Amino acid sequence: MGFERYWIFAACCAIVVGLLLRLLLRERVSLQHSLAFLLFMLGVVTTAVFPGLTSRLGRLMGFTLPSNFFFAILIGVLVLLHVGTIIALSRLEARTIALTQELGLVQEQMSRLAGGDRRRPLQPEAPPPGSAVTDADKPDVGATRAAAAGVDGDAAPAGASVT
Amino acid sequence: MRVLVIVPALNEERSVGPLVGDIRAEGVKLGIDITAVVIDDGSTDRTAEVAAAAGARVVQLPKNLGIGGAVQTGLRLAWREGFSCAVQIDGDGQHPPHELGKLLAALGAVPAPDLVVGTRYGNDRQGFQSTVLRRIGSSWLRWVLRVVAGVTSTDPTSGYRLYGPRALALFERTYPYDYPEPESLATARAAGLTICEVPVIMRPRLAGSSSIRSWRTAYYMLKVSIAVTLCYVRSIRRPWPKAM
Repeated sequence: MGFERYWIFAACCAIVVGLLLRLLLRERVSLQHSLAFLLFMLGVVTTAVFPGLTSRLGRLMGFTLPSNFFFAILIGVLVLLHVGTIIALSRLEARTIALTQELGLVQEQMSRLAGGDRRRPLQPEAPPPGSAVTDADKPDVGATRAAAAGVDGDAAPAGASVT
Repeated sequence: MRVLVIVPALNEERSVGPLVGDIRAEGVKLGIDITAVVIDDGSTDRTAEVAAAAGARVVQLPKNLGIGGAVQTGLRLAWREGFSCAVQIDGDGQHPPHELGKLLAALGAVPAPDLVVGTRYGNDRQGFQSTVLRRIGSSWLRWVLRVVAGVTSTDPTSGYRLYGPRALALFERTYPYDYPEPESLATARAAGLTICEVPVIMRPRLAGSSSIRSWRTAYYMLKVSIAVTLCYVRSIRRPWPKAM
């Protein structure tokens, strides 16, 4: 089997690689997250250019048909890439949520400091700063942390249903 | 005692105003320093303005995070500003503020519980009891929580809760984002927190609609069941620190 039988396959892969490179050049995707896929596609192109290599490797690994070997490897690598994407997406989600929460809390604090009105949400036209921060406005985190550390949670309280 | 009442709200402009008013009135009635904070979870209506006009502090999240992300925002605020405890009251008006006293009274026990859950399925079973389908789902969750996580809860989906200092310390760090109530019970149990239930009377929602409906119910049951199981397995492999 020669390259002439698989050139369409190699061409398709090359087109996908080309599209990905174009996205990279336009900074629509990052190299960090697309590098693994790029290498994978280059590997697929290599198998199309050198089909004899795929046949030999398949036989070495006990596959009767080279196509079975090819698809098994293909599916395996795609699954790995997908799991990697799930991990990256989950991390990204956790970071986005944490940042959104921080943004909301900081905006609320800024609004209170700027406007002097504790109940006022941040408006696009923020009032001029200048309000003094009083001791009452400062958080008393230490007291709560001390209380948190001092409570023994393993005993059951009386007078209520407890699990 | 400084209590932060967290009201997660998404497009609740019709119910959030009276709710904040009732919360503040309840604080005066009980003689407790109660601060109401409305977590506006990316509302497109006037929820934030109505809440601010009613006298609440308002944290506006620029994007919708869902109930878990909104509640955790309030818990982080309570933890950072040194509140004695925090109470979660849903913005749809299902949790009447006049029942707040029952949750706070549970803190009087020695030692104080870390997490107090208001249950609508108390002994006398008054008020809103939810639909038949939801009660079947709730039964399943009760079973999963009891068998897998060792948590005996009559109302695992109740969002009417009081978080003590240790619960604040725990959930400030980690809180489930998606359908958090049953999973947070399992997390609390895994961390060695005490969970206490107090019968409360709930109402049907004043406005808005539930986020759990139709096909989402099946997803909800599956997701929560797996999450509770994972929480248990996680606690075996890497136990939570007992003292925080």
